[in-house]
Amino acid sequence: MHLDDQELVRRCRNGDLSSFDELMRRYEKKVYSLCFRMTGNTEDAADLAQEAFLKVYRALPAFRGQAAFSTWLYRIVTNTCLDGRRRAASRPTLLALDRTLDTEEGELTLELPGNSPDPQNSFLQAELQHEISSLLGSLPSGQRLVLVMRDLEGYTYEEIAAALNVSLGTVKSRLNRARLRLRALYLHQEELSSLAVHLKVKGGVSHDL
Amino acid sequence: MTCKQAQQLMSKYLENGLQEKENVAFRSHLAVCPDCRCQAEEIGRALDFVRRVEPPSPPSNLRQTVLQQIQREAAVKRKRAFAPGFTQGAAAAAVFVLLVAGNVSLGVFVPRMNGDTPPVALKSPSVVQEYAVVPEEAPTPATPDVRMFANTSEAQAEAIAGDAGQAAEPATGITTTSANDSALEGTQPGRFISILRLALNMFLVPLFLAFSWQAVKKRREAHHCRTRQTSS
Repeated sequence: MHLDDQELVRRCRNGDLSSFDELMRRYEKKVYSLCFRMTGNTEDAADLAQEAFLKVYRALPAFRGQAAFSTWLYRIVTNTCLDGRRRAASRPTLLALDRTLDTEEGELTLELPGNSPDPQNSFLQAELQHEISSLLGSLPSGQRLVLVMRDLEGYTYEEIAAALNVSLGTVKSRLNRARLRLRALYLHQEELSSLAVHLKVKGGVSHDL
Repeated sequence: MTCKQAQQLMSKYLENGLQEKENVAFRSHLAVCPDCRCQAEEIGRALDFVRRVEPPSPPSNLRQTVLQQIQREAAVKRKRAFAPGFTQGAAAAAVFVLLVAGNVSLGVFVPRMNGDTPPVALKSPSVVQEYAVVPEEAPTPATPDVRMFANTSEAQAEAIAGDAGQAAEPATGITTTSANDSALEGTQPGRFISILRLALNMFLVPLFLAFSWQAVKKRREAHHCRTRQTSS
């Protein structure tokens, strides 16, 4: 039995939590991916995705069904991402590795990604992810969002326009600016790393950089 | 094709969305224009770079965590829906009970002392008859009984005294005086109790009104909060 989103929304509003679970199951991958691309790490992505779904649930009574559920959902998710970035900017990101963290679920010991079957590969992946997110993080959040949605997550222009509540033209011009900016940032980074390689070859002073 | 036209097709090119004819024209422009070629190539490279890491699958407990949070919030909401103004309402109810109980218990004593409430008066005639006979046989010992009786109903006592006076002349004097005495004794606690009752009402009625007002106010505030929350 496959129910459409609208029917599931109706059931949710009558207090059926399993319908909301089903809605989340349908969209969690898209929501989480977007949050991951916007934050650059799994913990913040999970936090944002949870927050977004909670907002969706709380706002369900106000959802009138003028737009598709997915459009409405993306609007909440993108807003949550933009708010989340604003908050992350005013929060220290460094964590001590030799100390335990007190969380709601008890104490937590931080570990470097190194216990997986292929430590070398996963370290490189983490390194690469760090570079990518710092590159994307240098974009203004509005541009980053459009670029992530279009070029990384494959949303249509119409979906993006509806989610951000702007015109198609705005989406296109913002995406254009985002791409040009990303190109400049990427070239700059490429230059730096080739310089580092160059110095390494010459005399091993790369650790100064 | 000019650079301006090429720029307009750039987006579509990067998304592999060019049609066959457009694609040919665009590529032939890139072949002769190093600026546009560099731009297309470099943006493509930058995008390829940021696409190199695929986002992981969502954590397995994501949905579970959200559902738990929803249930926790629902529990808090239920608690709140019950709480606002509840204590004030309960206090108002308690004061009301005290008020009623106080007035009823004082109201039972007061008419017995004053003797002008019908229930006692209705009961008395049979009692009156019994006591009325007593002075005939033994006039002197009758005095305390009549006095006691006078406590309950002095007006009746006078009437009886009058009746009894015809049968036993000597007893009359004693009866009337004792009736007068007991009338004095009866009004003093009566007045005291009325004052007590007035004080009780003056204290409890405003208290009751204050608690009720508080309870209604709290409920209204809570209601406003909830409607504001849902509307926003």
